[in-house]
Amino acid sequence: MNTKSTCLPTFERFRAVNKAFPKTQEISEIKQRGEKVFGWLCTYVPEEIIHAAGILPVRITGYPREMELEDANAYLYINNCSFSRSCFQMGISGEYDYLDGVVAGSTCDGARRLFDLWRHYIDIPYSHILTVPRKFTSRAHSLYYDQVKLFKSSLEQYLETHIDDAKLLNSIQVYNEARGKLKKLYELRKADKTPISGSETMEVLNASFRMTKESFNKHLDILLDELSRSREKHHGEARLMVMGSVMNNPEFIKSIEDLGGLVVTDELCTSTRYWSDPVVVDGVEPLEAISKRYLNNYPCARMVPSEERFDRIKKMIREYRVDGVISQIIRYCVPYAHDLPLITQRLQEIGIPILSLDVEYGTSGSGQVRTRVQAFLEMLEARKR
Amino acid sequence: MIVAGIDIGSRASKAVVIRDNEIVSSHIGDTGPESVKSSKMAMESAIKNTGSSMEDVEYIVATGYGRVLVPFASENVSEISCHARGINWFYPDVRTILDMGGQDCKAIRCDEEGNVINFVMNDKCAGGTGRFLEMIAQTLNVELNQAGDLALESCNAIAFNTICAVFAKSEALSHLRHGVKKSDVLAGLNEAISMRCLNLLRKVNIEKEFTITGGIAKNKGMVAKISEKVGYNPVLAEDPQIIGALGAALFARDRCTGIKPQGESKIQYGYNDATGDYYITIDQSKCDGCGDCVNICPANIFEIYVKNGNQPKACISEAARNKLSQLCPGSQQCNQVQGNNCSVACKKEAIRLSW
Repeated sequence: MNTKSTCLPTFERFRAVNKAFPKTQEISEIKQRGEKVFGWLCTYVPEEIIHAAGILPVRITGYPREMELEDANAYLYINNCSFSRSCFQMGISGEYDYLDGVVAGSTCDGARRLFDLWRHYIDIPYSHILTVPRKFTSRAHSLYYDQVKLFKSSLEQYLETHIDDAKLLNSIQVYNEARGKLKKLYELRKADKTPISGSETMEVLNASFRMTKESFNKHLDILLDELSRSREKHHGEARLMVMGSVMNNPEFIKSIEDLGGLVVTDELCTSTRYWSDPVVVDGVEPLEAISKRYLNNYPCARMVPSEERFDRIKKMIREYRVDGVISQIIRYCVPYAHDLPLITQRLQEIGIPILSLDVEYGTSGSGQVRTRVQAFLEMLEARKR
Repeated sequence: MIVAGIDIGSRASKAVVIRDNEIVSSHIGDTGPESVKSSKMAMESAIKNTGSSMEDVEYIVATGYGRVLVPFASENVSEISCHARGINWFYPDVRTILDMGGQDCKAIRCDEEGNVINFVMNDKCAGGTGRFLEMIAQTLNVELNQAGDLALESCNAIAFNTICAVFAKSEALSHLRHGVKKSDVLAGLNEAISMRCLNLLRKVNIEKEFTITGGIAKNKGMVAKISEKVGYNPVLAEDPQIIGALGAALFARDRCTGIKPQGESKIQYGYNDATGDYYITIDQSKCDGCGDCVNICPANIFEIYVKNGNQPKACISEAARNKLSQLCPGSQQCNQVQGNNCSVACKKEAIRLSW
């Protein structure tokens, strides 16, 4: 693929935010004004509630490279994934020292242990974890709704304020707007020649976790406009989908695209699963609408039945005309590792090859990854002939 | 028509030269610390046997772990595709391939034309690969090329708890101290390694037409153990170690005979160090030899060449190739200073920098 970077000013701005993160200018300005910033850990944490309380939610991530995890290894047992260890390493070395609170969901063990240790070892004024059910039944829904209510009241108690429906509705609107615009960005990638590459899309998504949503929406609007007029087009020998464990590293996607593939879509909690479904306030309380959206959203591999997720993946493969799927699984990421044989079989049934890579969080194009990806692309090319 | 394939593995560098429909020469040498030098040596030795010279070779494809760092190759293809293609030359019936190399093991499935259908590789761990066997042979004070025959003498193989290179070494030593025969230790290790290979093979489905390639396929003890586990006898090429290079040579021949348009050719130059691989790719099919890159580069690394009276093309000058790490700061850095660089300046979008 042609990897000449898109020279769009707005895109460069997103990239600058990511480069500065975790200490961006916007965040330090917010802190100087005496406002609060919260970190969140899992896509099952309803961001709207944090936003409605007047707090900036930022997603806790590691760096886009494999880190030295000396301190984290001392606190976290080795079979915690390298994502949780990378985040904790940054936390314990003070890189997130501006956070006023940490909110997590008890989805996988990695997130859960990370939250426990964060609360225990890192000085943090507020912390909360939501219990997240694994099913989509009505009992699961009422359990999760209770959890969301509990989170809201705990936050209200901590801030000594009241989060009313008007504030919630406003936050829902802001977040839905971001979701809609990200969806538009993805629509552009359905074309034969796309104005934005996969690695660049990842930069945009990373920025969405790290800016105020209002500012992000404004900039994304400009970017969409710039992209519609951009002459720069990306084309690949094969159209690829990336799926698997949490991954927000543009370098990893770039290393795939450098070898001639074009990543057109993904199934990751940092991308599609972050923006896919809007909150629908349709005759229900805003809080209930939020809880419904978060539980029914494009599911994580821990949710059952898995078919819910597989069906969505197959639908995306059709819509984005995907030739092959690259699954990247962080070691000890149990939900995804256990789902792999199942999804491999489902994809075989529809004739889509899958390459599975064992990686660590932050891995980019190591020699082993490159050999596998290159061979996979050659295989896809031979299939086309 | 003379074409060549070169396979820079982690332990050995292999080169194969093909004239029309015949393998005219092959060479196997060690991959030293400088893979560029090893690739040159392997290629030159292989060419020397043919009575031709480097200029006569029309097209060279590189493969293997060091494939991006072969300065004289026109293109690189992954070793997985090359092994499938190479074995297809000898045994078109083969559908399952186990490639046992110096640092990794791969199980490959291919079709009747030698196209890869599926493949798996071992993970980061190099336990049970060529380097591992080398180390164990050293520990036991056995010549590597005799280790296979020695293992066959065993009638009481020791069960190993691990194939972790570090632990297996100490386990082997402790068995020796307790008076266990070397042959039994080797047979035990082969047993453990072949179990691991069987698991890899199962992931791609084993068929009766099955082969082993790579250096370890020359180890009779290992081959015997694997066929015992698999339940089929593998068909072995005369020299299983050169199959990757042969596949690369066959891809090179394809390019020349137009089976796949020659226009796809990309030349790569670069180096690697502890922080990663760095290379510049020049897509020869897009390059029109305009010389914009020559003019823009502050370090003067580009030049225009004309081969066989064809259209002029850009390349990295001979003098700059070995000093690329000092001369070229990479696309981002160069951009900051100049606001422009070779990949931006190239109107045909033929130049790409990996860093």
